[in-house]
Amino acid sequence: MTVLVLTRPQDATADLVIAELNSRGVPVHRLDPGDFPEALMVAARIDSDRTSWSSVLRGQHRDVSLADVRSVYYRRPGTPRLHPEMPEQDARWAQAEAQAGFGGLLYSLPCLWVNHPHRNRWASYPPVAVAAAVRSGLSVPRTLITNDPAEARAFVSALPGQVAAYKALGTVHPSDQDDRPQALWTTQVRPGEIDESVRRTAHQFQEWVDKAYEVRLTAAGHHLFAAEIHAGSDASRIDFRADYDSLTYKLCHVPEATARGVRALMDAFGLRYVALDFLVNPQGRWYLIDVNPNGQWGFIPDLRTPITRALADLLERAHP
Amino acid sequence: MTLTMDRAQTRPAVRPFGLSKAVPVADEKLIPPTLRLCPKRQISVAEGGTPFISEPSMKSQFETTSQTREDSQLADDKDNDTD
Repeated sequence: MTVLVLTRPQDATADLVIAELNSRGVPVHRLDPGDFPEALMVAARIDSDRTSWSSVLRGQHRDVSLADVRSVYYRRPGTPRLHPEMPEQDARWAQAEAQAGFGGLLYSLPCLWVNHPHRNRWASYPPVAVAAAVRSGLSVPRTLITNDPAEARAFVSALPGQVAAYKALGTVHPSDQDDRPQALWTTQVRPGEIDESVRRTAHQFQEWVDKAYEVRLTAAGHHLFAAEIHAGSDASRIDFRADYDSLTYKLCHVPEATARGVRALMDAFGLRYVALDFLVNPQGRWYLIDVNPNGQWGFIPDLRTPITRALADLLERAHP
Repeated sequence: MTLTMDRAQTRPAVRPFGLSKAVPVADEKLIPPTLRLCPKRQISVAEGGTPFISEPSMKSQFETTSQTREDSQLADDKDNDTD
C-alpha cells in the first residue's frame, strides 16, 4: 500500500516527509496534479459491483493504482497544466473539466487524508473557523466583520485603548496599480481612521490583545507541537510575518484546556493536521487568531524533525 | 456566489479601507538552486544527487519563501492550504 503525496515538483517540506517514509521502507508515490493531462494519463472505471473507482495513474516515472493508496498527503498540488497551444476560451473549459474529472477522482479516494482539501477549504473561512473555535472552548479576541463604517467605529471605540487589529479575511494578496504584489500585515486601527471606504467590502476588526509572545501550535494527529515566537523588532511585534529575521523560537507546553480545545476544533472540521497561531497575553491567556489547515511547519528548526515523524506516522498507519 | 469583476479604470480609484493598509514588499529575486526531482527517491536533489533537504540553502527555503509566500497574506495558493 502506497502513500500518495500530492504536491508540486519543488516542495522541500514534502521532501522531509517523503524522505522519512523512504527511510521506513513505506512505498510513496509523489504526484503533481499539474501534470494532468499532458504528462499524466488516467482511465478510471466504476460499476455497480464496485464501491470505489478502479484506476491506474500513469505518470512519467511510475504508475500507481488508486486501490493501492493507503493515505494521501495533500501539500501544495499544482493545477492542471493544459496544452500551451489551446485557445484561452477552450483552456478555461478544459481546466474546469480536468479539475472536476481528475481532481474529483482523487478527492473520491476513501482513505486517510492529511487533509482532504474540502475540509481545508471549510476551515479556511475565518468566520467559520472563529465560531468553531469558540464552540471548541478556545478563547478568541472580540471580533467584528462588517462593511458598516459606523459599526466599525463603534466597535473600535469601545475597545480598551480604542485600538483594534485589522486583519484581511481572505487569501488573495493585494497588488498595486502596476500589479506588483503588496503585503497586508495585521495593523493597528483607531476610530478616527475609519471612513466610508469600509463600505467597499467585508472588513475584519479584532480586539487588540497585548501579547507577551505568540505561539505557533502545530497538530499532527493527536500530537501537539508548540513554540513561542518572540518578536525582536517593532514590525514583528505587530505581525511576526513582517520580519522573520528578528524572530526567536522556544518550545513550549500547551495548557491542557487549550489542548482540549484544539482537539475539539480538529474534530469539528475533520482535520488530521492544522497549524494554529495564538497570542499569549502577560497573564498567560492564549487567544486563537489564525487557523491554517495546511499551514507551513518547517520554519521552526527544533520542531522540524518531530513534526516530520508525526506526519509520517499518520500517513504510514493510515488511521486516526 | 458570483461577483461581477468587470471594472473600468477610474481615477481617483475607489479603494476598500483594508487596502489602505497594504505596503510594498521587497521584490524577492530568489535564485533557486538547480534542482531535479529524483525519480527513485521522489525528492528534490541538487547537482551530485545530494537531497535538497540536506543542503544549507534549504534553511532559507523554509524560513522565508515557503512561509511568507504560502502562509500569510502573500499566499496565492492558500486554497490548497490555508497557509
